[in-house]
Amino acid sequence: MEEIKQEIKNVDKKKGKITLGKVAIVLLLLFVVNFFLAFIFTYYVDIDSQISYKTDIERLKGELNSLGEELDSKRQSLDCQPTEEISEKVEVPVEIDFYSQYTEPIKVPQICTDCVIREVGSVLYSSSLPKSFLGLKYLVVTIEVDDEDWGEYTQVLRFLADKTYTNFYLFEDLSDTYGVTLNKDLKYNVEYSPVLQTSILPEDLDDIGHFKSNNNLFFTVGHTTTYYGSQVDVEPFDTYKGIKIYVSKEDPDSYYIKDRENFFVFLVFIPSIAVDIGYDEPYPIIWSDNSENIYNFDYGYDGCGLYELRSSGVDKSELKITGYRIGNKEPIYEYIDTGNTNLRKTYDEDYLQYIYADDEKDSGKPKLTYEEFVTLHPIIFWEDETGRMIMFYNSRFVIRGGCAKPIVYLYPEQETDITVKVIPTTGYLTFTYPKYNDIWEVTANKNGVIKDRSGNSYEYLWWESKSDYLPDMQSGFVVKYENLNIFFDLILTKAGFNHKEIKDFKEYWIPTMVSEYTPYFRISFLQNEAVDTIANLVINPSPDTEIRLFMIYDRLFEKESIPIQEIKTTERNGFVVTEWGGTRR
Amino acid sequence: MKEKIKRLLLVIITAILFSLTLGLSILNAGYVFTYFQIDPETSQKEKQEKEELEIEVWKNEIELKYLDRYCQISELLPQNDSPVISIEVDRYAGSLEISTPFNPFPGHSKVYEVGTVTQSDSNTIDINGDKMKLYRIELTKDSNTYIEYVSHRDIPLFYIVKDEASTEYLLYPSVIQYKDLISKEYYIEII
Repeated sequence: MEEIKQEIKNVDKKKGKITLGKVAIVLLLLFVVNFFLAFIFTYYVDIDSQISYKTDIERLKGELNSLGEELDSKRQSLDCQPTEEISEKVEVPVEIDFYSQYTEPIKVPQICTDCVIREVGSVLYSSSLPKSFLGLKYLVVTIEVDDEDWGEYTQVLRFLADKTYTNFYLFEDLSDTYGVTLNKDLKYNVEYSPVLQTSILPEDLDDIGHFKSNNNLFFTVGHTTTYYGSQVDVEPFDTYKGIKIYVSKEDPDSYYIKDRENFFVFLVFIPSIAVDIGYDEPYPIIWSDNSENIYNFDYGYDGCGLYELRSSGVDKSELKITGYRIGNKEPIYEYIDTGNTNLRKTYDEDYLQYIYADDEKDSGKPKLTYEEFVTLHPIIFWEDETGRMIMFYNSRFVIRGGCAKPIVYLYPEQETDITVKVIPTTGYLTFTYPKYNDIWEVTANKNGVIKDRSGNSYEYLWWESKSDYLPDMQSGFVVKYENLNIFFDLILTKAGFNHKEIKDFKEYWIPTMVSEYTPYFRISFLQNEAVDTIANLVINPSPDTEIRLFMIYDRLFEKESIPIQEIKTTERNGFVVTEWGGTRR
Repeated sequence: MKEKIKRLLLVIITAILFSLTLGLSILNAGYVFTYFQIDPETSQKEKQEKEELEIEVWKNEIELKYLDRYCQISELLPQNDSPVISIEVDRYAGSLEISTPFNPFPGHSKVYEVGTVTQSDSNTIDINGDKMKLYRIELTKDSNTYIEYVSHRDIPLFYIVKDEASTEYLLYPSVIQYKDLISKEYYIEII
């Protein structure tokens, strides 16, 4: 009986005890209730309409007051130099005595901190100089810019400055003042504008067409590519009147000299056999059958400002002598095998397209047979003074020019199998991506994602061609280089391109054009059906909307006026295909 | 040993539940407090006042930036004594919102085509073809803050309309970005 009583006591004790488990259960219940309430408040009660915004209002009123005071004081202290005074700056012709030796960079925080400043010369005395110009130093400032829109480029500015770096005169024509990379407190002199009278090129290279180096190689000074020293990895290669000629360690066809500011300037190599030969003039060659050559040849081309030399790397054992250079009897070679793939390709692709050109000498004539073609010296080789075998294409069969990068975007309304064929109206395809086997067979979706038959994804189809035909454009735009970004925004938006397409266009063209180092561009556009003069796009199924734009630009060294071109707007409906491309004339 | 692990797990679960419940309770208490603190009408008025103040602050900030570059900007615009071209405009009954990179503050401002130029006292404004249009940049939340310009519909060349009620700082930063495309020779006057 006692045991039973004890057991009952124990049970009663356990019942009244608050165990951890019980606490957890109560907490769980409370959690569920609170969660439910929070859910109701969040989704079913318009709590926003019950909030007091007094604190925010007070804060904003405070901000407004201080901004108002700041505005008042700004409005009262507006003090601009009248425009007339700035535009009437006195131009001062200045001659510079460039230092013969490289000078180490100096630090002038008054100009900029994140830049390289070199003193490379001093002002030469002249009785016509204003007093304040005497004893000034010539400074070159380079700033490496990595711009979101423009990509990486080197900004170059040129100043005259006194010894204490308190008076600065900016060479406006020789300075890239775009952006805000200089010290914002830097004030240029607004009274005088220096104008450089001394050539930046070494004296012996100034104003000469081409020159013959110590190793009997011919060069001409390039105008488009100037590098700051650290960006080019070069080694000495040759000399001209004591001026060192460098060759790039990475590209043995790229030559440079240093200008007086110690920048590397690109040199264009000219095979000696081509020196003084005009665009259509025959090369001085006597063929083995004693006939005199009547053809002009092409050893490279100037596309988008980049010179490429066709040094072939071909083995002499594949070649036979078919003629001699008139004068020094240097041998001219051609392929032994008349079925060589390079010859065959030239016949099948280049020559085939060339005869379709409207204004070419072979236009309308029947195509030669392959046997006839190989007898007309379509590809020849000549060994230059350094032992390189340089390949020359007969200009009758191969076209000069290039650089376009047309890009095709496909946006079907739903995932669709599409075929795209590019037919260059003149010229021939030189590059395609993805690989083009006479036609692109792809699948695209409404977001513009393109997949090839192997399942690889692409954002666009890319083709390039070469042609020496470009239509004459009577109208267009003259655009300063620093306005290219916004100009393309305007034009491409107007034409109907979307944000991504415009971004792609600018990413490709702005760095290309900026590297031309020219102050203005004359820009015209072929739109939609007018692009057919460059190439036809055959797309199956047919798109509902086709937006095509092809830019043709010229470099201008000073502003000129041309009739403004009208840009048509095409609305994007249904299956949309867009394409942009361009070239320098 | 098993008992010990069980007990430890129970302690952890209880602690987590306690934290969560406490957090939610505070949140709900906040909701309840807020709900009974103010009536909806007052709250709505305050919200509207706050938004208006935010716009005012934003406008002042933009004007400050504009004044910072005032000298540079005024060089890119026609001067007060620049020649004025008088035009007549057939204003639309409504307005047609257009998408253009010339919109200076996407998100805060909109650009509308508001009429067609029908007469002009200068050949500079070519009215043939009905394509010379009047455009209006205005703040989305304050249509009284605006500036108008004339441009050919297809050719991006802009002529600023001289109007004392307009707000010049709305041209910032477009005037800097488009400096070659904005006429600095002429003002336009609508008669």
